[in-house]
Amino acid sequence: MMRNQLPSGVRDELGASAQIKEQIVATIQRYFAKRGFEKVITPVVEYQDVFEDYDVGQKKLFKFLAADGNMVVLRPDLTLPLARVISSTNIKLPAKFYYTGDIFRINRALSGSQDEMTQAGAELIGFDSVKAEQECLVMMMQLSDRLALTGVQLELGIARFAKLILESLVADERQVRQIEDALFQKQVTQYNQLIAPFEKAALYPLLRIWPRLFGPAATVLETVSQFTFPAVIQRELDELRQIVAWLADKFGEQDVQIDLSAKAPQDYYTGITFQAYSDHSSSYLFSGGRYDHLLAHFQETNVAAIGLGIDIERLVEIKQATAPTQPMTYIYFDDQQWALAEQKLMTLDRAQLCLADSREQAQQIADAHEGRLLDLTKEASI
Amino acid sequence: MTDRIKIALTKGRVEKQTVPLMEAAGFNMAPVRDKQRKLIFDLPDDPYTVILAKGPDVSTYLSQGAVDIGIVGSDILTEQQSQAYELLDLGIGKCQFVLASTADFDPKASKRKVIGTKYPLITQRYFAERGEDVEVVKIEGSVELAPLIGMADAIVDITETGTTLRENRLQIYDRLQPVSTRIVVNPMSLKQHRKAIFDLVDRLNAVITQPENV
Repeated sequence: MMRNQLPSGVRDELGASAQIKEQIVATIQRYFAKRGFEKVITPVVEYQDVFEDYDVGQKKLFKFLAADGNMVVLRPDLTLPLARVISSTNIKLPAKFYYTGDIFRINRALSGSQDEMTQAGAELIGFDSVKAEQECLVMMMQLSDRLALTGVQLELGIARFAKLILESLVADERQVRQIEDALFQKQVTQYNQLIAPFEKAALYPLLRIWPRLFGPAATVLETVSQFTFPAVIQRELDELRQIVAWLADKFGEQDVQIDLSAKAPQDYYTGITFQAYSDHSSSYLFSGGRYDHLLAHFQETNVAAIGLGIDIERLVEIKQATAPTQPMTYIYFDDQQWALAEQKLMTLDRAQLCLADSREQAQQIADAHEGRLLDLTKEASI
Repeated sequence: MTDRIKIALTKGRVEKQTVPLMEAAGFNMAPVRDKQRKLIFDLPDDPYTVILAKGPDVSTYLSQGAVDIGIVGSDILTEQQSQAYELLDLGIGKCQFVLASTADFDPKASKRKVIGTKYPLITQRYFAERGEDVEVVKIEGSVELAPLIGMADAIVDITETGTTLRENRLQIYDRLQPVSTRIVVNPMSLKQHRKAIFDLVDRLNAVITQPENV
C-alpha cells in the first residue's frame, strides 16, 4: 500500500533544486577547505545521551533502540556530535573543522515543514581570542558574497544577556524562566504583567523597552549605554561594542544589527552570538556563537569553542526563487559524430546527448521535456 | 515579490471584530468590508495586504513565513504550539476553555475518561496536570454533541457566554484558560519590516487602551 509513498515530513529532491543544493554545498566546502579547516563526517545515528540536556529540535527526535538496548536517535544537531568526537579522540587543539550533513527533527505533522534538513558549518575549537568571533563574521560575509546573496544583514547578540539581567533582579529561577519565555516569545501583554513588580528597580526602564531592544547596532548600543549593568553583563557589552567597532572599521558598508531581546540560536551558546539573513530569506541563513562550556558535557575540562551553522535548505529556496530556468538542449547525432557531439556537450551551458536512434524520436524527447533539439546530422549535411 | 506586508486575518467572528478596530486605528478597510467572494485584499492607503483564512491556517502560514502578521485566537496559538511573536492582545474574541458535560457526569469517577474536543493538546495538558490519563477523541464540528450521544464522557471546548452549552443541557465542571484574539508576527518579518509592523501594533494598541473601548 505504501510502496510508492513517502512518510509526511520528508521529500525527494530532483533536478534544479537538487543541483542548486549540490552547488551551494560545493561552494561552502571549497571555501572552508581553502581556509585550512579540516573536514569531519559523523554518523547519522548517535546515542540519545549525546543530545541530552540540550533543547535541540524541541526534543522531538526519531528514536529507536540499538542492539545493545540503548536508545539511539537520528542526530538533530551537528555540533554536539563533533564535541563528542573531540572529547574522545585525542585531537590536538586548537583546531578548526567543517562539516555538511543532514539533521532530523520531527515537526508538527502536515505543517509543510521538513523533518530532514541539510546543514553545513564550521567549528573553531580551543580558541578563546575574539579573533575566533571575527573569523566567523568574515566567513559569513565572504560566503554571502560567494553565494551572491543580496541585502545581507549581520545580527549580533549576547547569549546569556536576558538570563544575567533577570538573575540580577530575581532570585527565583522559575520566575526568571517565566519572564525570559515571555520576552523571547514577545508575549508583550504577559511580559508587561510579569515585570510590573520590578517598578522600583534601577533597570526597570530597560525592562520596559526590552522587547523592542533590537535594530541597527549603533542605535541599540546607544540605548544600552544609558544604563548601568552588573559587571559581568558590562564586560559582554564591551566586547560586543568592540566587535561592532571593528566591523564598522573594516567592513564599513556591511549592515550590522543587534538583538538583545531574542533567545540565543542554540541552548549551549555562552558568549557573543551572530546570525545573518538576506532580503529574501524567511529565516536566518547563518547562525553561530561561542559555546565555551559545551565540551564539559562530554569530558572533565572546558574548552573554548565557537561555531557557525549554515541552513542549506533556506539557501536552496532563495537560489531557486531567483534562478532562471533554462531549457535543456538535446544533441542528436549519428554514429560517426561522437567526437563532435562530445565537443558540443562541453561547450553548451545546459545540454545532454540525445540517445535516440531516429530524428523523430529525438524530437519527441526534446518536446516532452520542453527542450531544444540540436540536430548534428542535419548540420553535417549542410 | 512586493513590499506589501501580508496580514492573515481569521475570517468570521475575529474578522468582524477586528475590522472596526483597524478602522478606528486609521486603516481604510473598505475592500475587506465589501469583500464579496474574494479572500485577498490590498488596503488602498497602507502597504498591507489582508488575507482571510481559517484560524489554524493563519498559524501555519505564519510559521512558514508565507505571511508576516497573523490575527488569530490564543486557543489556536496554544494548540498549534505557535513559535511566532505575540505582540498584542486585542482584547476581543474573549471566551474561555471549559470542561463540560451532562448533569450525570462525575469528574471524580475512577475510570479512564473519554474526552471529546477540537483541542487535543490543550485537553491532554489539562488532564496531565491533574495526574489523570484520558482518551482524547478529536471532534471537528459541534463538540457539544459528543456527551449527548454517548460518544464521550465530557468535552473540553471554548465558550463565550455558555448559551450553546445550556441549550444542550450541558454543565460547566471546570474553567481552563481564557482565550482572546492576538496579533502575532513572524520573527524574521519583524526584523525585515520593523517600522511598519510596530506602527500597526502601536496604532491598534492606542485604540484598545482608549477608555471608551475598554
